Amino acid sequence: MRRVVERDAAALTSLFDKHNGAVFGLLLRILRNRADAEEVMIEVFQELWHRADRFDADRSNVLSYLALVARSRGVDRLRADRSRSAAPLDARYDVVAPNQIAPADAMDLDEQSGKVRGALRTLPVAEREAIESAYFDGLSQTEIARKLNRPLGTVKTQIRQGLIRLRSMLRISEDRGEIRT
Amino acid sequence: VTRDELLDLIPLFAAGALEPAEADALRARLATGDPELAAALAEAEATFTMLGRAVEPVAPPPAARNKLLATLGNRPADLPIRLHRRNPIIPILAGAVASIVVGIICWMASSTVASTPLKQQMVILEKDIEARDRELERREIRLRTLESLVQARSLEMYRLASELQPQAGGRVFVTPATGKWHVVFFDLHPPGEGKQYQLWFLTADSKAIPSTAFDVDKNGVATVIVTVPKDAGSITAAAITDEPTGGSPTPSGKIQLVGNLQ
Repeated sequence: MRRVVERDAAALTSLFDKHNGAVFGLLLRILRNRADAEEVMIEVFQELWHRADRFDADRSNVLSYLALVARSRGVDRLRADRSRSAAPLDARYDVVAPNQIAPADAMDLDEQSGKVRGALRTLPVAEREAIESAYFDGLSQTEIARKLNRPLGTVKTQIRQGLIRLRSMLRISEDRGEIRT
Repeated sequence: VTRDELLDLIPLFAAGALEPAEADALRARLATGDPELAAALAEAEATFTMLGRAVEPVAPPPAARNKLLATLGNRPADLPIRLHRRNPIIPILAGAVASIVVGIICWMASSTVASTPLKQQMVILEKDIEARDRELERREIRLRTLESLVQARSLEMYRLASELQPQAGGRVFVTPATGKWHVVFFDLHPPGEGKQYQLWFLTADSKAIPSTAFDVDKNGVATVIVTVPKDAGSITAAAITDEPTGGSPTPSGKIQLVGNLQ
């Protein structure tokens, strides 16, 4: 990251090569369209390039930062798309391409993301659905209640309990040195 | 609002799920510098952010890398400028080159001014080409899908209609071999603010299995491609209802179109 702050394009390319799969995968999950996911992914790395000096290495690692920005930009795009109708639906329900990440990087990412996936899987289904609707669909609690056909109070409790439960599980992994936030 | 209630709101705030008024109230309280609330928020945000790691990596299109580099190249001021000072000859050369460049810049000043609008035009045109490329890609996917549909050895077609929207209709093309449905809707009214249409598979034992939620274009047209779940059993009918945006696990709106598949 220090080299990116110094405007070293090779360093940015290196970060792109290492993390593009994770960022693209996340955006594809949010947007469900390869063309949109690619476009937003490029915006995310552009933002990293132009605002690298704002990155605080003591508080976050690069992948967490990229995931944060990608989720935010992806949900922004999703909300903008929702406000427009008439997107070609056959393109929106796209086929996900096979993973072509380099094996070494994939192993590193898999190890960490596997812990998060594992923690997410252990949540009660209702809590996981509510949290995923907030994270991947960018829905408010009222919209989630409508989507899942549950009372608003129930959705609030499910998100709150789910996040507390997740935090507790991931903290245990962190204590064991398995998770880097 | 009590302190405990505020602490309860923190996970929802971190998830971006609070309604604007609640979020504003909590933001105002956080602005007072309450350390306990700030710590709770930092913890909740860190947890929420980690959800992004739960997604399997997917390789982007190979052209993405060059597209990124090309966009960086469109911003001359941001291009990387790295001079490795270890070699003493470089500053001398750099000085000489700078002198020449200054001369050239003076000489080209008028032509630079003249070419600026041209550059802006080029940027606009490049963006236009990119947008057209994306549209072409979408159309290609659509075309390939339709091609596979008409080439299917076995194809069944059913109609959807209703009295609620007599002007509208739907056609369900079923490819039994793959379990894929290509459904075309036409002349549907807009589903209303905060709503989308949702497709349902209706089974022989009167169950409604939720499928995708979708919008219609300005002509009331939509195309949906879905696959019937393997454990769905015998599908005897299909329907669409109006549901909250994003769809619903059980039907809550009125049936807008329906049709038997047998």
